[in-house]
Amino acid sequence: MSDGRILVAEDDEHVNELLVYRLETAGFEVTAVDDGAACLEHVRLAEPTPDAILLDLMLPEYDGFDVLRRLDERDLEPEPAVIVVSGRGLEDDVVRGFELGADDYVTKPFSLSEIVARLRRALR
Amino acid sequence: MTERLWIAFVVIVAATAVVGTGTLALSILLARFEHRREAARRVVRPAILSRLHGPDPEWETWYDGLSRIERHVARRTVATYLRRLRGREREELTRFAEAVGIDERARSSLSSRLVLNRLRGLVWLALLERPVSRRRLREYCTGRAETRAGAARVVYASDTPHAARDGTALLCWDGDDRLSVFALDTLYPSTTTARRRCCRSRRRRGHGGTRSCWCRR
Repeated sequence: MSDGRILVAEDDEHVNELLVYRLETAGFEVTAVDDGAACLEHVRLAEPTPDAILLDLMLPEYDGFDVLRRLDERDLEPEPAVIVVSGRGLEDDVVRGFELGADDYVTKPFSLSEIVARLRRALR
Repeated sequence: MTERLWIAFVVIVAATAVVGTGTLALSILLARFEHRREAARRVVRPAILSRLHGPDPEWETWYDGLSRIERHVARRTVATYLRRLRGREREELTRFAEAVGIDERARSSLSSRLVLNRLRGLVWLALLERPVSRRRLREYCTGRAETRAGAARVVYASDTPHAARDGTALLCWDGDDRLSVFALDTLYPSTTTARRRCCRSRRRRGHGGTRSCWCRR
């Protein structure tokens, strides 16, 4: 029994690897994708839908903002919690992320333990 | 005439064969090296990740047991992770670098005659946020624009008291030089961080808001 199903959408191979490893050891069931289209596709096809998504903003195909917009349009039930994990830390990006439906926003470089703590809080 | 053409033909064919053989040999060599490196990555990366969250990573013992190529991969992996992480995991990776002597080697490589070694040293010192004395940086790192930019990044990363002043002095050492993207990328955060710190400390001491700071004049 896992603590939750997490989808990691991140195109940096190393960040992906770090997140997947840490989340799996923390007890989550993790799926990783490396572009926006694959992220949306996974959310569409996965049964049940992931409990949370760790979303990078600078993704190929659809960027993180596009993914947030499209997720919002889909009216998913239950709605996955979305935590943006991005190198873009400008106020405008953070505000835009929240406006488009992100539940939390973490800037890179990040702490893996902090991500786990934020995920647990988001899934509570 | 025909004989000369014949000689030219032979020379061209021989040169092409030599270059072709050389390229092929180099490609095979690099492919083999990459293959070995990939095999090492598959072993080393999970080992680092598991030690990152284990109770006692015993970095030194683990590193001593690695082959030469595995050590190379371990150092590269740690450098990559240091760029992406902060907090507890970053501190653990810094302890790895200390345990296997990377920081000491980086410091001593500043005095190397080879620019590449000096740059490698500067990269590690910046990643590990290790301060280096102003005198040492000026002595060994002011000869070239690349090393000056690297030294400025070390000053910024190690967050020394006069980081903005020292970093800017290094970057603008030779007034005629155009700054590289890396140098500009160092100049901007080091001066803005210094401004924020200055304003904060003045506010704490009751000297008013940001307008009265030196950095706003």
